[in-house]
Parts: sequence; C-alpha cells; structure tokens
Amino acid sequence: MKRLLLLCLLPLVLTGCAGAPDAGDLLPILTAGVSMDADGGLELTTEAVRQEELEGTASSTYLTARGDSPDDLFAQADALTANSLYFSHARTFIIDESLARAGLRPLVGSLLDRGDVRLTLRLAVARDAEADDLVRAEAVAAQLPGEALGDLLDLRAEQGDLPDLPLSAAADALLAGADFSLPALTLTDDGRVLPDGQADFRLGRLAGFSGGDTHA
Amino acid sequence: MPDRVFPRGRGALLFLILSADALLLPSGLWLDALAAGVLALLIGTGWFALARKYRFADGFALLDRLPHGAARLADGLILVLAALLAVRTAFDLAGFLHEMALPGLPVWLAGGVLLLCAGLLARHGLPALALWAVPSAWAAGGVIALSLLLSLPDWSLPRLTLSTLLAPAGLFRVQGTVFGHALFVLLFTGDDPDLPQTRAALTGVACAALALALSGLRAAAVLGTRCAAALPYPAYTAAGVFAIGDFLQRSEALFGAALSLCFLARAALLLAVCRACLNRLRTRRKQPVSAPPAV
Repeated sequence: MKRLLLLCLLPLVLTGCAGAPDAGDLLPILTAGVSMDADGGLELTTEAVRQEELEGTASSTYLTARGDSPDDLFAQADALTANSLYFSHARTFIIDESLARAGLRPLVGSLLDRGDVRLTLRLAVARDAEADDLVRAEAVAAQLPGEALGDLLDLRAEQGDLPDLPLSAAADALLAGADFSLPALTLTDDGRVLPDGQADFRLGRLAGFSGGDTHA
Repeated sequence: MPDRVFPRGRGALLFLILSADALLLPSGLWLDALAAGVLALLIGTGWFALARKYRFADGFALLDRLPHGAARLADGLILVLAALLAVRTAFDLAGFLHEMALPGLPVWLAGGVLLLCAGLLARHGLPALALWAVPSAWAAGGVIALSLLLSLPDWSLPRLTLSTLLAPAGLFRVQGTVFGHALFVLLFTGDDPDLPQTRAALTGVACAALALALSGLRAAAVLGTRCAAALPYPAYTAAGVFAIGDFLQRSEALFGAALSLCFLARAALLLAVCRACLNRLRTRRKQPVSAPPAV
C-alpha cells in the first residue's frame, strides 16, 4: 500500500506541481530571421504562434531581440517573455546578407547547441531585403505566414528549383569546409516573399548569389 | 522439458542493457560497435564453454569456489561497482530527458525517480526482471528496427567520410563502456541442463550490436559525419529526420522512449546485482567460515 501511495505521488513530482514549466509555458516559433548591423550587433525577429483556446484560430505574433553573439541573442530572446521560445516547430531560419557574408559558423553552432532545434529546419538567405521584413511579410493564402513560407520552400526543394539543404546538411558541409548553397528569398513590391535563386557559400561565408527570376 | 522462458528473458535483458548505449555512442564509432559486438560474442561463447567444462550454473556459483575472504571481497566489489553504474545509468538518462525533452525537470529529481522505478523493477530479482524484459525487448527492438527502416530513404552514404569507415581505435572504448555491462548478466548465466541459455544470450548480444552499429551508421549517413559529431545525442536526432503524414511528426520521441526503456532495464539489472550481492554477503556473515558457501 505504501508503494502504491508513493507511485501515486510520483506524477505530481514530475509535472508542474514541482514548479517545472510544462508545454503551455513554451512559445512555439515558426520562422526566425537574424540580421547584423554595422557594429556587428545581431537582431533576431521571430514569428511565434499564439492560440488562446484549443479550438480557436492560431495567430502570429512577432518578437525582436538583440545580442552581441548568436548565443547571447538566443539568451536575450528567451528572456523576452515569461514563455521560453520553442524552436521545435520552426521551419525556416532566414539570415541577412551581411551576417551571411561574415560567416555562418557561430550561428549554426548555436542552433546545434539548442536542444529544441530540429535539424530539418531550412536555412535561407535574404536577398535585396531585410530578414526582419521577410519574417513579418503577410501570407497570400489563409495560412500563418511561417507555415506558408515553409510549405513553399518544401515544394520548391522537392521540385528541384531550390537547394534542398536542411540544417543538418548545411551544418555538415560547413563543418567540413565544403562549398554549399542555400535558398535565397526576396520581397516583392507587393510585400510577398518569393524564392530568388540561391546563395553560394565558400568556406562558410557568402560568396555571392546566383540564379533567380528577378535577376535574370 | 527445458524451460525456455528464462533463457529468452536473459537474452532480452542482454539486448536491452547493451542497446541503451545507442543514445550516447558517438556515431563515428558504429563500426567499432559492430567489432566490439563480435568480440563480445566470442567472450560469451568462451564463458558458456567454460561453464560447461567446469560445471557452474552461474557466475555467483563460480565465485563461491573462491576462498571465503576472496569471495566476500568479490561480492563487495561487484556490489559497489554495480551501485555506481546504476546511479550513472539513471543520471545519464535523466540528463538526456532534461536536455532534450523535459528541460524543466531537474536532473537530480529525474535521476532519483528513475532509480526508484529501477529499484521497484529489480526488487523481485533477476527471474522477474527477465520475464519483464521479453515484451520490453520486443517493444524497444521493434521501435528501433522500424525507425531505422523508415529513415532509409534519408540515408546519404556519400556523407560518410573515410574517418567514419576506418576508425577501429574505438573498439576497446566501446568494449569497455558498452559491452562491459554484459558481464553483470553473465553473473546470472552459466551451464544449467534445465535452462539452455547459450543461444538466447548470444542472440541478445548480436541483436544489440546490430542495433548499436546501425543507429550510429544511420546518424552519420543522415546527418553527415561532422554534424553528427557536433551533437550530444546524434542517434536520437537522426531518428527525427522523417515524418509520416501529419500523425507521426516527432518520430525521435518514439526512438528516445525505446532507448529510455533500455536504460531503465540496465539500471534495474544493476540494482538486481546489488541485491543479489547484499543477500550473499548477509548469508555469508551468518555462516561459519568452514561451512560450504550457499549457491
């Protein structure tokens, strides 16, 4: 009987009764974008999903954080609200051209260190646009913008129009010192996000863009 | 008629306790895991050959043939070693749960709860644990096999570098850290005409070596050698690269649960060893020195 009572108490210890955060305390992120200013400071813009009720419609909310390094950036972003940012549902991570030219290794290292980042996350580079603007762009379809962008990149990668390089493959190429290409994204005049060729990397740094309809 | 339930249970237990390390093993050591598995099979075969030749029913019976003081010392050393390894096993799993699944759950609390669960599993000794191990091994082995099978389209063999294919230096590391745990199962196995257990035990070791090697190979082939080397749990991460429709989006969670079961089995086995050693030490204390030791 004592053992049974002990076993009944265990679930209480494992859940929120011990003060531990549960799934409701996490803020799921769909898309994130990071840019670098002239002083080397980083800015992270994230599209988080907010859903007030289980049956209610989900909506996007945007958060911005600043930091000196990728690790600091994620720490600042996590400290923005009482809810921890949760990247497990993130589908796209957009990198500013200036940061891509400075080198991806620190950022990719920070992403690999985060336990909640899935390696199927797609990296993309902003071309002639700010990463922040791309993250905040509206979706044409009745979808969350991050969902729509993730679906578009998946479809184009399947069709072979864009480099199919999830975070795992990009990180492996980066760590091996190999050349690789990431999809490039741009913003149209009417505020839509469109794939626009590819960003070519050499030794972990952006060497230039190639292809793309708007640059043909 | 020979009882085949308990031998099968011992084989299942061997599979569970050895497969647990698929979670922690660096993916670059997949070939070493395979080689260490072959070596463990040879050691196991040798053990059963010795048991037949010298007619001992299990490892404890062999220890009983030592002088009284030496046997007590051996029991004490095994007890301490098993207890330390049980704590380490529980806290390895607790660290994994804290980092990848339940960040709000303190490691010490998770480790304590896991030790308690393992203790409850081990409280009736090895026979009960072996019975529990059979369905658990089918469940864990089935999930591991299914996960490996479903991720096959995502394998990219060009991502395997030569350093992954030719790294036999880790053989002894794998032999010590992974297959060393099999020695604790051997304490409960030997030559018993009513319980023919050689085939079941060696099958358990062979399946575990295969699960370890394929999990490491999958991690390197799916994530790339260097990316896998940069991750704390590459086999677990690699299990999440595929999704089936909208209903199985987090396949790594199932893989992690299967390996957690393996860790729990290992901690329970080590605590069962502690329990057996404690009982033997107590029994010896009550016996006069000249009396034959209990089996």
